[in-house]
Amino acid sequence: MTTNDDSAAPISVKEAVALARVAGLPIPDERLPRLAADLTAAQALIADLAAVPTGSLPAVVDAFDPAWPQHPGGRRP
Amino acid sequence: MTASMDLSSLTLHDTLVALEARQFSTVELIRATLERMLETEETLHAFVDVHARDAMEHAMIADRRRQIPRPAPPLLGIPLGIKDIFDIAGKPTRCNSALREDAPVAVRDADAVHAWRRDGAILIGKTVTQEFAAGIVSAPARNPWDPERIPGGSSGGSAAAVAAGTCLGALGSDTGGSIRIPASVTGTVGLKPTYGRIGTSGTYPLSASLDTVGPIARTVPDAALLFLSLANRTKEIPEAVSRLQHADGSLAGRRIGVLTTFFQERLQPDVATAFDQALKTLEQLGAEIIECEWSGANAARAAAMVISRVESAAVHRDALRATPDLMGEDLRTRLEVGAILPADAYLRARQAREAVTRSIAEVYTSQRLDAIVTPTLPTTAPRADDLRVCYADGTEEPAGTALTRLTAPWNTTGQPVISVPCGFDAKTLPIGLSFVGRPDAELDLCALARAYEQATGWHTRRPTVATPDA
Repeated sequence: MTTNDDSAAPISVKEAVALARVAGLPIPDERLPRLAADLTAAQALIADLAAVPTGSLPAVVDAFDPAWPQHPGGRRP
Repeated sequence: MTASMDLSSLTLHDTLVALEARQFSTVELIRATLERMLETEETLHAFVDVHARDAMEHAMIADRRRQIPRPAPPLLGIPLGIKDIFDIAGKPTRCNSALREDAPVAVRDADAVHAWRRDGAILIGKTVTQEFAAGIVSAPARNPWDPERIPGGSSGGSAAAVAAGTCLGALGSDTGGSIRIPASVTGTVGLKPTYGRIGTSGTYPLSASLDTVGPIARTVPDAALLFLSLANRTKEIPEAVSRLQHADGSLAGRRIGVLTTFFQERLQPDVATAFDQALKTLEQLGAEIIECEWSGANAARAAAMVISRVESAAVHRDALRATPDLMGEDLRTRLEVGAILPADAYLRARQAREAVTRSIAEVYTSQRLDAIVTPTLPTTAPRADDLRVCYADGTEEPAGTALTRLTAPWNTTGQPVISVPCGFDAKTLPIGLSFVGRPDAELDLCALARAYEQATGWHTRRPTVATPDA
């Protein structure tokens, strides 16, 4: 199982500072190590998403509809 | 309190029958409920606000209504708890956040609150939530089975109150597991309906494309009743509840799937044993157990995490930049990560959501499944002072990761899930079993879960809440 603990290269504190600046977030120095760790975990989640083949799917523009297709492989109502 | 009114063991259905038979009045019920709170709240802190005067006034009205010789509303006089992210007209919604300490009173009821009030319920108080419904601790609320442990979250106060007998049902919300997690660790029943089927107006959002409103109760029929009220399907309640109460318990002809990977990995031994025993019980009831593979589970979990982080960061965008010091550390970091994640990650998560939803639909269709069962959680309740989950192989996992690992995939697919008690670990802490259904199949799911519930009786066990004098 891929988990957020064991994949993706860690994000450094220096990188976290740069990312927070771009996002306009005020982050005190003492909080940066935790932010870097949580960003690394989030990066692993993104890596997990890459395992899903989405190439044949159109871009998602509508609100999520949990209904299943009437027929396997068919479009949703 | 009358001899027939043991609030720690009464179900919502029992109470309705007793009220109808005039075994006790609504005023007596509410008075006993408030007295029960005096016994438990000093330990459990399940409520942030108790509406005692309003409740007694509504109890008197309910008793007068019951004198009228026509059918009573289906929840008449039933004391219910409301998670403090839902608006109740005339009360503030504080979401367990310093940012909302001076929140104005709500002008109108949330959709869900309106539904229960319309059907006669008495809103006994606001229950403790994790800050803005984002997390699994729900401090200061504690677990009735062991007050040193968390009641789960984010609907932890609601579950603790139901388990302790200070309300007969409670409102929760579920974005990554926030109904099912507290239900599992408190030995209660939690129903996450199909995404989008219960109105969310008047509910403080965490992640709008995942947030799902649902009930926590003591039994499956009670959860079904509360769900039908929330879904504005009040007319269906008498027949649906009667069918569940009087079902013969057979699961002959039913096909129940078991996912052999992901949901069987990294479980505490007592959870794995209880799950195996649950499968045997389902087989004894006549169900066919079908082993299945679903390769999308891990991506489904990741999609829920990415979507919820980004959307919750958007909800709190201004506060995160202007007044972050008023946020708890966990919430703040979670929102910061959401604010930093790239837009294409969010869009990829939404595409992955579509893909894994199609793939799980294919599993159900190809195997002709009525439901899938999984352990609700890989663990029982963690200690409040040690938020880690340890496994037999010596590894450990942060509690927030462990408790959402098996629940969040179903938020991504949007399917209905009901968690019911399925045993206890060596420390007498409850273990939960989840039935995952097809979209909009809540009542069918309840029928399966009810058969299991009736066969095992785990739901009848109640905690003895330690009191300061005990």
